[in-house]
Amino acid sequence: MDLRRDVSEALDLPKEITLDLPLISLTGREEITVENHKGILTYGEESIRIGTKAGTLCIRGQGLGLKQLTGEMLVIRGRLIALEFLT
Amino acid sequence: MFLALWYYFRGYVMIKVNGFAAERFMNMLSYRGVYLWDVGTDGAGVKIKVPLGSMDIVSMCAEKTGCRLEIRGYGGLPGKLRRFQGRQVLTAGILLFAIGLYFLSSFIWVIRVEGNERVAATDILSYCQELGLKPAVWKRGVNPEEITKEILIQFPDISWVSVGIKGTDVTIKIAETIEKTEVVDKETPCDVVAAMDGVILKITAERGTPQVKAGDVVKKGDVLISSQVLIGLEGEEQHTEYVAAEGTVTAKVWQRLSGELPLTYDEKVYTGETKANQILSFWGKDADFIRPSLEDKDADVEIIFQKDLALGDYKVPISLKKEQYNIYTLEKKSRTVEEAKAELAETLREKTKQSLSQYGTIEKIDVHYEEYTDCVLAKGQAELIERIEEKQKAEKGRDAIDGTDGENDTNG
Repeated sequence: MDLRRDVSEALDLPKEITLDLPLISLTGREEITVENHKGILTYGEESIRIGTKAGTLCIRGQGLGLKQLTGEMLVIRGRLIALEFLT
Repeated sequence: MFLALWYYFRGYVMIKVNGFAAERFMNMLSYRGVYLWDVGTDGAGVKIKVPLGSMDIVSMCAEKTGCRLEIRGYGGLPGKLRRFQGRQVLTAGILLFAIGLYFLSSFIWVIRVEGNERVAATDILSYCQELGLKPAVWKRGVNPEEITKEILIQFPDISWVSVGIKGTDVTIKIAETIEKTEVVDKETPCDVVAAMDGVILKITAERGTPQVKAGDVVKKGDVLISSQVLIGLEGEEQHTEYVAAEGTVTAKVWQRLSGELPLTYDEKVYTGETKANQILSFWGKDADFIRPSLEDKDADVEIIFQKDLALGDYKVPISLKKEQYNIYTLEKKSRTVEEAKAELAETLREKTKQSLSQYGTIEKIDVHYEEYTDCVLAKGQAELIERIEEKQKAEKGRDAIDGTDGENDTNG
């Protein structure tokens, strides 16, 4: 595993592909796109937990909602307050 | 965004999932490649939009995760179209509309002429009609190249033509040749004759031999300036040449005037009351079903609106017309002899003025009146100063051109 990391760091390869890490993009504080997710753990208007290779990502906010959900990416809309990796 | 649009056209189902494992249900669906969007909480459950074709997987996943599945409705275009199912008349109407549009667009409806200044557009259009290019003619039957050629042959004043068909419109673009200056014919011999009887006041001959002098009395048709010109000094050998005589001749002419005016007359007094009448005409015949009652009153008819129905330039023989009846009453009026005389004098002067040419003036007007019990008669004479010259082709003209001398000339 560490060898993979070393190689991709040495060759400057995109880690979301080589290490299957999530790629998280924020648009202001109203939209968050998570690529390479591993599924939704809990779903609610105040908090959504998403499983990723880097750990559980907890998104807190107000009036959150899933805009899109496919196997590779998800888009969450709402007023974002915090992003936290729990483990 | 594009996926959502794609699934709008494909159709989607709005579902609601209740249960503790809603997240597992969603994960399972996305793992199986089902696209989910617009996920929102709804009370204890979650509402989701899923594509129409994936309902088998959705219900299977709901069963596996132990969620209660509820279909809230169908969305997208197929759902909207489903509402029109079984409406044959509507479908037939849409089909007929499409066919009608296609059918009507295969005809020519409007013909325009552009770029003409001297050649009248109506002339070109009527010639096009002879060639078979007219409104309501089938588009395929029109050959623009041939029409271009024919127009160029028919109208010498046109130097370039382009006939373009665009949709149902035909545009005939033309370019005219450079205008020729008007040529005054100075070659063909002609006389100047009197257009009316009168007494000559002044005669100015530019070309030709004057035949009359001031003070002469002339009758209509008399030669004033002759086309014959004698060449050569007096006493020597002379010969006659013929020219196009030209000149101005001013004369005093007289015109008879007469008029009559009754002392009592009826005058129309409009009451201000009007009645409208709508008429539908077919092939020029009025179909006037509803005619307003005039109750034996007198009325003038005034057409205030007329519209001929047309498809483009093609006239449909149906027209709409709106008439207005202006109701009046006749009132008996009378005028005194003096008023009648004054009115007659005015109308006679007006009449004389209108008969004058642009060079003419009124010298004086003598009128005498005859008074009767019911009317006044006016008789008189106007003295005018007018130009009376008029060109007339000389009868001997041809001889002159032929080269023969006009010695057996009997022209007076």
